[in-house]
Amino acid sequence: MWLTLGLALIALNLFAYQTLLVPQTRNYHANWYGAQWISAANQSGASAFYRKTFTLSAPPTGAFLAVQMSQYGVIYANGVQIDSTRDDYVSGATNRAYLYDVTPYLQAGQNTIALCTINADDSAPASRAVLGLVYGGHTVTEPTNASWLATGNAALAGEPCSLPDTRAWSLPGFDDSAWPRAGLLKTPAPADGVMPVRPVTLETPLSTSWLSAGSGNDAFFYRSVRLPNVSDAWLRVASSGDAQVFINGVQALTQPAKVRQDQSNHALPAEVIVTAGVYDVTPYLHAGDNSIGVHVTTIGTDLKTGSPRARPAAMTLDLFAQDGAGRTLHMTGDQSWWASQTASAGWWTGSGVDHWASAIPIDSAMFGPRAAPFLATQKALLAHNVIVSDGATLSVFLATTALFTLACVCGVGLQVAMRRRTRGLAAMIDRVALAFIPMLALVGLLLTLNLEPLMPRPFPYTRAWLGIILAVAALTFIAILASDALRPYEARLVEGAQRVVRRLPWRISTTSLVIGIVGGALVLVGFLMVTYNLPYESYWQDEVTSVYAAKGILATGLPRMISGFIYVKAELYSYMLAVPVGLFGDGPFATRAISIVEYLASLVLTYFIGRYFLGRRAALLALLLLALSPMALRWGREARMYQQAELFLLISVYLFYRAVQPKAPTRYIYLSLLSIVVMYLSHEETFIVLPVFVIYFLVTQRLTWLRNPHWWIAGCPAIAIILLELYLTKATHPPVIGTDHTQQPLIAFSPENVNYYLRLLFASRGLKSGSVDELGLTSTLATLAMAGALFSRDRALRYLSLCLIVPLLMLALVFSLTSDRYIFPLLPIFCFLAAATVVWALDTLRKITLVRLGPVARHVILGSTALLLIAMLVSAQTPSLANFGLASSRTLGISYRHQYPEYQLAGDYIRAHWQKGDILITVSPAIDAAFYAERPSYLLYQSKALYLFEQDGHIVDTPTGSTVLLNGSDLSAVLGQYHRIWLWSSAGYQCCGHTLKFPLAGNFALVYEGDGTLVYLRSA
Amino acid sequence: MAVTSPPSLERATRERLEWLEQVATESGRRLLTSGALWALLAVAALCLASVVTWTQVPLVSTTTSWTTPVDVGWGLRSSLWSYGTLTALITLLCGVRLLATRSWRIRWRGAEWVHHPTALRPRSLVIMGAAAALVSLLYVYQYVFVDFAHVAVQAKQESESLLVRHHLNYTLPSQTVPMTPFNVGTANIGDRLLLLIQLVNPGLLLPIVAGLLCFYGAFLLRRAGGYPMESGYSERALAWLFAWADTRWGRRRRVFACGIALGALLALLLGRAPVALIFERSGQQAVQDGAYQNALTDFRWAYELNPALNELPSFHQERGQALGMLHSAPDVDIQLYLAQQYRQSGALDQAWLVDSLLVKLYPHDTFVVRDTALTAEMEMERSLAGVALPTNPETAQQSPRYATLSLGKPLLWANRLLAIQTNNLAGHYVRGRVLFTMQQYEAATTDFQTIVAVSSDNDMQSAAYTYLAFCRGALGDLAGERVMLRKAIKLDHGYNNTTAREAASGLQ
Repeated sequence: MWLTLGLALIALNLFAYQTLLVPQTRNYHANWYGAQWISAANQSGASAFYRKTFTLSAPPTGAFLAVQMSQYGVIYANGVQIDSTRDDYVSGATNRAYLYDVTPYLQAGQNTIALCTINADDSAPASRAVLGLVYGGHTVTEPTNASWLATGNAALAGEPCSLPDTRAWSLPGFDDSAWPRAGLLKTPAPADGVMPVRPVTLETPLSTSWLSAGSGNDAFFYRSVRLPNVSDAWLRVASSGDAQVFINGVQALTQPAKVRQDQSNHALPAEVIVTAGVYDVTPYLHAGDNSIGVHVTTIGTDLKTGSPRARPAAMTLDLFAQDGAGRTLHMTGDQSWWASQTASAGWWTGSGVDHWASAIPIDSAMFGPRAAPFLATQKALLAHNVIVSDGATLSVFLATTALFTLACVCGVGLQVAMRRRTRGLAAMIDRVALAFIPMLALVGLLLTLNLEPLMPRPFPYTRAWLGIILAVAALTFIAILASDALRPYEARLVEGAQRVVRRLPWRISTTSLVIGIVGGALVLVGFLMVTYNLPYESYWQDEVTSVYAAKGILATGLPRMISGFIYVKAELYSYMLAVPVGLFGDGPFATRAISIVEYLASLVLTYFIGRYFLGRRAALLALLLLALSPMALRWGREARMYQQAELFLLISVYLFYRAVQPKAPTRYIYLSLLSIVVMYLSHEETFIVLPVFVIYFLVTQRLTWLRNPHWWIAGCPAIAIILLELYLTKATHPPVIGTDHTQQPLIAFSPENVNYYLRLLFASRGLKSGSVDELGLTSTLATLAMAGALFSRDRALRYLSLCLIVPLLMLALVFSLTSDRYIFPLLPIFCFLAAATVVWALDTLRKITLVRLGPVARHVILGSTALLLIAMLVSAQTPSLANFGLASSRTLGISYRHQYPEYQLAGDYIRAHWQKGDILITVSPAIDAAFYAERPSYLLYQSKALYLFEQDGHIVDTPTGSTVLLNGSDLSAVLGQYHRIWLWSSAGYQCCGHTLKFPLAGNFALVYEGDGTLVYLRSA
Repeated sequence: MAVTSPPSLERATRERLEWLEQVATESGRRLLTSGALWALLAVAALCLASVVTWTQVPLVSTTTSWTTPVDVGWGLRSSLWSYGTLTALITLLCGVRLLATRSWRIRWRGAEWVHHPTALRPRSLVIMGAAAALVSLLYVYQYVFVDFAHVAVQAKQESESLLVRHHLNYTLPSQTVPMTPFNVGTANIGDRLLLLIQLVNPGLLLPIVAGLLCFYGAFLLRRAGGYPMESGYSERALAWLFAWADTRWGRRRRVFACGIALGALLALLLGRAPVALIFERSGQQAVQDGAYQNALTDFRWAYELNPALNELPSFHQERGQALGMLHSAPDVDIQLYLAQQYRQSGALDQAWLVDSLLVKLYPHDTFVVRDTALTAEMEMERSLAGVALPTNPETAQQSPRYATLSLGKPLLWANRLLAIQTNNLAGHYVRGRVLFTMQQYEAATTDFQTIVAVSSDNDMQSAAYTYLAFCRGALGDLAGERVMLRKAIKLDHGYNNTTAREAASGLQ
């Protein structure tokens, strides 16, 4: 309780501090100046290219570019890449608009603004943009409309949008005569995008006059400004060196010199250090006089020549403030600034500045235009918008909250004393702490929701939410204080509910009814989500491999690939998959049906097995977590063996536990070992759980198993089957050609994996641009449960903890491969343990409330806390709403994207244009090309010896038997041999220098760009 | 006369099994219930901690507990009083305490097992655990607050390691904390903690594991000994708070007095270095406020309290900034500050001018040498920007692109770097690769041989042997090339060195 009280105090302080003192990210809308959504008239793939070329007689004093795309893309100005928005989109921020200062990229003469947009969903790519050119106080705009050129045919651009460093089509001199004019978007336009900065701060050009204190390299500036009550204020600072800005006596921001860096994080040469930033300073200003102090420091020697510095410490500062009526006040550098080359004590509050001189204006030409690129992108501008507060303010907050808490204690004490039921100071403190628990849970939920990229900003640190938090605390207090008075009302309510249940035609307890409804609803929701639009995703290479293995079984009785290679992996799954493929073909409904059925079975079993181990409440919560897990939804709709492995791992864990119980029926011994064999044959990776069974078996059975024939009868065949499978895997594998990183033994001591799995379990937002399923909170709760199991006498909890920790250690230390899917079979165990922790916490809370509180207050606190905790747990599972799943995105109208490259359309394109005598070469996995297009003749080698084997004197690809081209000479020989050659590629495999050793440029022309797929044709 | 029939084989086996089971059960029970198991495991963990690596800079160096002397901020260092000595001492004490209880001993007397009646007390295990954990905690304290010389060396080595990784053309296991060359910070507590997290090896964690084992054992003993956890935490907390009213106040007062004295002693012992950092922070703030004279006073106090601050480049730069703003006569700090500013803005040639002059004036000052080497490394890297060094002799010889590469500048900077730091692995590796590209195989061989001699890291040696093999091959010694490639592959336990593996298999 003391800890709770401390936590509540800290949470309240931090929330209030963030709300009242720290500027929060807010959503702003760009000024579009009449820009319309445009798309390409000749759309054929997933990418579209847009160009706007215009001539300038002189460079403008300022230029800005606002862009919004459906869905993401790359922005260029005169061939210079301004930004790529893919990472934002992939991380779930699908509603973004962008605003850039493009002044330094424009020139007198011809200029081109170019965009390429990719739509990774099933709709057409579209864009909306406006270019603003500022001349003095006059702004000329170029909004997107039919005057822009647009093409959806990547062949006309000559380069794909999805590869980096493909910018030739964005240069002013590019021949775009074949490009048609852009068409206006006919489908409903996406919602207006948001951005985190006020547009006016970037749309207004920098002042042409800077301020200095003389020629020195140290300058102090001060001014006082009278402001009305402002609702939104932004400060734009540019300086010739490090700058510190003090507002009303507080060091509001430190702006270190920013240096341009290249892609390897190396500083680029620059003659002048100019650093700039835009900051939200609303909380630091108040109505009336405000003081602003700036300290700028530069180094004393010219960087280029080494001579004494000719450029002084200088700065320019703009304040954009919006008053309550919505009017914008713009304060810029002028003669009202005082400046000095030496500081006086407390100068930032105006102390000792009386003898300072007026700031000296300097022409900005001294710092520009070389300085301007530092201001180019929004990301550079808003790198850090953290404002530091002083300790005194913090102390006031701490004192206020402490007083608040004390008042609560006194209030409860008074109430207790009046009722003459006082149980001392300890009881009072406990009651106060209990009153804060729902508030703490609410803060936890808000912090979790804060991670959602689509959450409207500012959130959650607003006065409204602070008020709600305080109100929750206050209402809980009221419930505590008025518990006795409310008792009759609650009794009446409960009686009413029971009466309703009694009237039901069947006899059922209220609890069973609730569990039945909730459980059934969750399974139904799971079913709807997992079956939604099954063909949406093309098969990725592993799915195709499973499909080909099933086809091989139908054809030869063995899981043979096209190449003849036997796929000795997940044999049981392959044979099971052969049944629907044989009956209904290789379409997604047939192939993915097995996983769907297994997914639903695992949901149902999660409840029943969870109930056996941990009780009904934990089981229901585990079911909730699993049903709403994006990871489970993903693997539950794929033609792959992971769902089956998860299901049988769950069954094995349950049956084995039953088998080792004292006086357990012998059938459990046979069933458990059978399920272990089935689990292993579903996917060999489940071996990670085998040590659990061995350890638990030895601990519980000690040596009694030596005298129990059933263990021998069941165990020996099980071990023999597993060993036989291992032998077959080894024996049927062709001789290895080469030993690169892909040939690393799967089982080897590999402690370096610990780092990966720690990140995956506790900080997965840093992986794959934040698109990996989030396990942070679930993992933390499961870890707490495992720690608790050490101190608990609950056998089931200990067993489940062992079932999680040992496989995780195996993955982290022994299994050399790393992937998020390897922990998927353990997901139900994660859910069980996380649910156990939550239930334990609620039980503990219940015990305390039983002693300290009346029934109404107890129910209020328990009910609200449970609901908030569960909501937090569920919402914490998904990295972002946009990445949760197709069904939820479609239902909520959120933009969605394919998770895998869209191979189907690329294959359709090749098949439609295929001619006799054509051959196909692949860069990406050949098996997808074989399934969706034509069987590839050749494959470009990409340092993955695992997929190579020797066949008839050739090095061929394992699944398809395509001949492998090892280097440029091999490819050149093929180019000389055939007339028309198709190249099947994908952005992930072709980017980043992976194909540098092959002479692709100049030999192949891009003909199609899909979502993640690229098709080239070479016709000599 | 009754004749006893000999026991059947089945019965004998059963009896033997029962006996075995009884022995196992009884031994396990005694080990668990006496707490000896946890103490034993803790001792084992401590023994292991004293022999395995504590921190490791990948590719470059490793440190064990024996190579780091204990220093809590008073400058009293001796190689005899290292963390290895401390760990060994605590291991010894724990071992003696464990042996003294003899709780683990059981004997078969007559028809039953007899065990020694004593067991470890929970308090003993708690003390053992605290002592074990203290070793690691003290090391972390020393790393973060005191031993800046060690931190500076490791930061430099980490930067070297990252540079080499950048040129390997294959990936090594990912870093715990993503860092880039030249950006390995040591300036503040957070930076140093991150660096420690980056470099930590199991050895440093084992004493904490030992401590946790002891604490867990204490918990089990306490639970088994009939000390149930009471309910009513608040009552107990209040009782503790108001214990001064207890009649046993005299004893408690003594305990309090001892506690306060111990706390004061600890604060005195460990407080010096953190106070130095407080002065440094105060100096930094004074620089930002423009109170440069105050800043210099603060920095002087910081230095007096912890002279090891002198090993941190950031400390020199802060002091140099304050001195520079006061227009003091140019000294080493001002020059280091200038060099840092030049580097930050990309004017590396200017930074080199400053540094090369400094290193001539102060050739034995380690921080000057490190700063100069940093500039040379950055120059070397910049001169290699956009240059893809070939990974085998065939590519180098066949591709005309490599003949046109201008490699004079990287070679010059690598030479300059190695003239300052002769054992700089990044310098040797890059120079070796450059010379290899320029087809000067004999000269390249010397650099790679130096790497093999200097670094004991398997991955670094594997990388060096790879190019030693290529050099041999290019010089016509194909048998020697195979031998070297096999060595490279043998050292590549993580299957990372694709270059050597592809070359050996002919897949390149």
